[in-house]
Amino acid sequence: METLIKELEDKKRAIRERDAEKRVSSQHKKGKLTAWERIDLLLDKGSFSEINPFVTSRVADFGMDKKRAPGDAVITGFGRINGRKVYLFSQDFTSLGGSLGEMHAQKIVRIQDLAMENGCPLIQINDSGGARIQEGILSLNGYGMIFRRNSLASGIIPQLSLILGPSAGGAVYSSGLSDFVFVVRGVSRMYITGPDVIKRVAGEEIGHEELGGADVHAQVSGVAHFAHDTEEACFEAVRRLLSYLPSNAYEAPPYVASEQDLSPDDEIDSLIPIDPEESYDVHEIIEHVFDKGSFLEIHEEYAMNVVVGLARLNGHVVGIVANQPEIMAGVLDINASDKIARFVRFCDCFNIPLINLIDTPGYLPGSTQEFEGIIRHGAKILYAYSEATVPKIVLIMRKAYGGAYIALCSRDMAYDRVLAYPCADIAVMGAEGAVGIIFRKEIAGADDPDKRLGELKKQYMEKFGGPYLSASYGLVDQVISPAQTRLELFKALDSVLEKQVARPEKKHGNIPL
Amino acid sequence: MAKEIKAKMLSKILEIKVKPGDAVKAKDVLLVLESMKMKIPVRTPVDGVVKSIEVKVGDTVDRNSLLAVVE
Repeated sequence: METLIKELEDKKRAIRERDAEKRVSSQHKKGKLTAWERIDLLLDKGSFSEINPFVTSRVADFGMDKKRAPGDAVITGFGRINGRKVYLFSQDFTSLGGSLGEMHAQKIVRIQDLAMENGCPLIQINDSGGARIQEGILSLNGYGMIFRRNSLASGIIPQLSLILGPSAGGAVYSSGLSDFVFVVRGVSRMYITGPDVIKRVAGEEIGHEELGGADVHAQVSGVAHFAHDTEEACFEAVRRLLSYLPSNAYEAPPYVASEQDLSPDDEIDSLIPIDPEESYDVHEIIEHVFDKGSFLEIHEEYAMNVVVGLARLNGHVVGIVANQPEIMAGVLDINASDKIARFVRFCDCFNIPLINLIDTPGYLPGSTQEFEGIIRHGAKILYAYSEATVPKIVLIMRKAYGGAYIALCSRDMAYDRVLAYPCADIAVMGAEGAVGIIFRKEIAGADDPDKRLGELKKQYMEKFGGPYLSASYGLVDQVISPAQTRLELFKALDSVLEKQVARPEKKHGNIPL
Repeated sequence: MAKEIKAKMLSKILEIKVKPGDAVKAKDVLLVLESMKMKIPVRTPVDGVVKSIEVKVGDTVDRNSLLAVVE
């Protein structure tokens, strides 16, 4: 037995220490950490258990039998983050370029199945040259198995993808199917076809970073939800994000008792300008209302005209959707619609109540938006909120007009509570637009059309502006003073936390895409 | 590195708050635009010196038009 145990230990050591120096320095030279360093930094110290370290490729074509790598270029297993179980894999770029062959894929598939069956989050650390060409169709088959499991696990366990190196070709779709994608500046490269192919096929010259770097996906494409400067910061963010999420769709998100009280905060009274032409930064409202320092923004640099993220309200995890008046007046456009709908559906999957902070003039007018399909994209917001059965609370801070009112504030989307500030303006459109249509002839025929428009606008505002007409219809439940926001939102949330909604069973809906 | 500051949507230039050569800090307001009947401050995302202002008050600019360069 002693000999056998020694043999086992030697084998294990050989796997972990194989060309260690060379492999570590080759990653470090590229400004990247190794697959093992990543696992050690991400997980609670000493909590990792590896599965299938002895697996190697079975393919011998093209001399691959001479290039076998123990583990087949991916480390898989489970460990803990803040004490809670997670499954993960970490691709090893220093073994066969982290390329995905048949057995590499099977190791990943195994982890996916285990994560799903055990209701634990799955973390995918990508650093791979892509399909292992020498393994041909077996490699593609592997991707297919992985993508299908990503899809089936969606809405059951949170899936997080960290892009810490290249992720090119079909491989990107595993991340595309994940709930959250993390990128690191100077490290991540994500694209369907790289610069070489683009040059050959389209004649376009573009660099790796400009085509698929972290900033591209965090700011332009919206593929990435979080971008950081270092891998260490990325791991810290992953740990923080998981602290808001349940391990699976059958659990409640983790509650952490708040040390902060719910007493009035007079500063909020002066944060929102009464003048509808003045803008402000909605982050300030969020900072004042939710538990101090608890706001974790998602898609921080993408479609900034809307702000979404997770926070705690008196200890309870909530998902916030807030218009951002300071960016593009807080309009809803195609990108903002996608951002909101995806976030709302995530929160609904994982039992996270939603709180909307509303101040928007509505959907963005313009031919570009129409041609690109604002109708089907904007419809996603309606679909996502109608479908969502988690507690849904609205605070109308200022403007709530037209389609944006229907989607984000109306009783008809089954909001559990609609609150409004005294400066709320709820209408089909802004007063000037409405008066211009209703009194078109009268204004045109007036001696001084501008003056008449101004008078009619004032009359209209007095009669239809403000929150009280809506409140008289029962479409606003309560008008609150801004200083009381924290208390009132918490009372509303607390009253609906155990909400149950029954829906007729169906296979699945057909969300407009 | 020069940072180009561009309009995010169709807007009118209401006010220009800085001139070339001014030192600015991240989040300082460079110009004020009007879009969707609202005054929208345009802030610099970086610390630096204003290298150029590419618009004048009263101009109408389209999405992605260059407004200013901070270096």
